[in-house]
Amino acid sequence: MIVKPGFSPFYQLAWVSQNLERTMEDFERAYGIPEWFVMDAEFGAVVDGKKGMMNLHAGFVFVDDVQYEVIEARPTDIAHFYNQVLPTDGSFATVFHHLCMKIPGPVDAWYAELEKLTPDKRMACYVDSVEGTRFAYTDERHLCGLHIEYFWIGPELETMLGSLTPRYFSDGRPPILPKKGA
Amino acid sequence: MLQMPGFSPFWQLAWVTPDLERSMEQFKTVHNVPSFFVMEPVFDAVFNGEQGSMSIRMALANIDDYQLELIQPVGEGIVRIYTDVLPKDGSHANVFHHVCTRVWGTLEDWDNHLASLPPERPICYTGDAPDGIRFAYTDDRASSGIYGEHIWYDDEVWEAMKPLIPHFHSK
Repeated sequence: MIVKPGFSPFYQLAWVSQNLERTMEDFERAYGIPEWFVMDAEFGAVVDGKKGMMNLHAGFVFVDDVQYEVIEARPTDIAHFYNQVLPTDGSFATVFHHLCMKIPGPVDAWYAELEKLTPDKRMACYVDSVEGTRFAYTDERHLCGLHIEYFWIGPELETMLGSLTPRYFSDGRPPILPKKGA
Repeated sequence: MLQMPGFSPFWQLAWVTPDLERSMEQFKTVHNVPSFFVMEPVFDAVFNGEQGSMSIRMALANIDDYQLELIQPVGEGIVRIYTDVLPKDGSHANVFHHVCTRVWGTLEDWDNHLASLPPERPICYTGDAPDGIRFAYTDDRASSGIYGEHIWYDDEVWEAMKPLIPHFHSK
């Protein structure tokens, strides 16, 4: 079995926050990213072997070829998967949570990738309940200090979400912003 | 010059470790990064206004079109920009520390990039890099929980460095 080197094919930087809107405002001021695709999603997930519902308020943008994601996980019985990195005193923070690899090819490639996982990469969150996508996170905090996401998306959903997600560029090109109300 | 968005152009993911050899072995066995280019620079630097000597051991590997960096801080003083994130009990850990932006172009582009950074990204650390290299860190922890590094290479310097750094591909 060949494991692809060092978090490749690299796809995403992801943060967790208690307040998506506040984090997006911070990213506008600090990083020049004013517009995001914001999505609310509720889906079944398995966290540490326990089935439950995840309820996410999440923002997405592309900067060049890298996707940025900010996740506000609304309270559920498995939301701790994201929220455990947040300050326990309730103070606001945007905390780096995971790196994401996008698995190319058909959906079988995603299952095959997970088959390759060695026992030290513990499955922490597994989602195969959403049509057109699969994603799972391994807890690799003891290895690289982070969770690692393995993400697959089908071409139709990728095209649809891609059309909704703002895209910013470092080479001076103007951003590609979805039409309002699209 | 307009501010470049986010951490772009995305260049590097970087971790801090108390034991570089152990981390390289972990990245070899766990993350399939078989080898790194190791350097041990010592240079004058300024961290949060305090001047001092920076001594680190660092390992670089290129993956596709980005880079992985492992940093082992050596000594005391301003090296705390790295040591402060490590476990206080001395246990081993690879702690994610920063995302690095590479500024392409001329030294003027570098200067313009630094000038474009907003107050929310204060420069907290700079050092006397060799000729043809410039770097600075911004303390981005308030906005994104991590530091940001910004680096510029003169084309000739980078062409000389590039063959020394192992390069691995996902395809």
